[in-house]
Amino acid sequence: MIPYDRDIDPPAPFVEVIVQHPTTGMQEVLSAQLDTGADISGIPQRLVDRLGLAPVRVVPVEGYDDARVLLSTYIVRLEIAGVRFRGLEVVPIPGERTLLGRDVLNCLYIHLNGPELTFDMSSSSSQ
Amino acid sequence: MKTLVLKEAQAPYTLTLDEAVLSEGPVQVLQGERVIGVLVPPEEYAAFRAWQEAQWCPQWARRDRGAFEREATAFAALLPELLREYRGCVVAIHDAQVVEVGRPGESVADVAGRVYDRLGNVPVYVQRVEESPRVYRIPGPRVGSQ
Repeated sequence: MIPYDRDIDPPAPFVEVIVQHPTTGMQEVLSAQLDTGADISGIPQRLVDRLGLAPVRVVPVEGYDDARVLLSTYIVRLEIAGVRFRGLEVVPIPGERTLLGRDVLNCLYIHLNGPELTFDMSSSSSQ
Repeated sequence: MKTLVLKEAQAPYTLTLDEAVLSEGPVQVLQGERVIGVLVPPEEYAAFRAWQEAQWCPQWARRDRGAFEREATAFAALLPELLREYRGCVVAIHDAQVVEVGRPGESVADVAGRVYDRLGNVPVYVQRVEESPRVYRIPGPRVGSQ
């Protein structure tokens, strides 16, 4: 069982992920928030710069207020709960937040235990 | 912009600040006649940091950014032709030419991965061939522009 992050209000599920450059192998370990509302995952712009990621395309992205912006996307390797994504397309987001969208979450079995503020995550339904 | 003057009492310096003043905009902090700082509300500072992060990038990244934008321009110019040949597929553009075409169902990441394996870490523009690009939604956080 993984405890929710209680430093934010209300508490929310975060999980440790490894984000890696697809060719150089440079990497960083981050705490990422599970966000089932996001179509695509996001990493801090700072990390894009630090890893020296190259953009692959530009996509329109809408926020909560339907405001649309054009963002470059980047390919990273991502490891989460023992699952490796060899190539994952992500967008940069402001600040220090890392978001796991449905592009990642839909590959995993996740059980949220809200009342106890814990969750389970695995790549197999039997765990 | 408002101006506040630091007055040397004994030590350290003191500053009297009314929160309402800060809400009217940035406030200069003076020591004598010298500006030693500017106070802004935390939300404004957070927005500035986000902008600053978006602006900063290593020199080599700026160089590659130019190459990336040339590949993106080439994709836009080739789009009518690409729509006839590769509608719905992901293509990779390098040196203004198609260097990889995805199989049906393959993602941008799949095709970009093959290009990196074959050509190394070169500037490339990888996009699905469609008339209107898909719009992604991230309702949670504020998304910034580039």
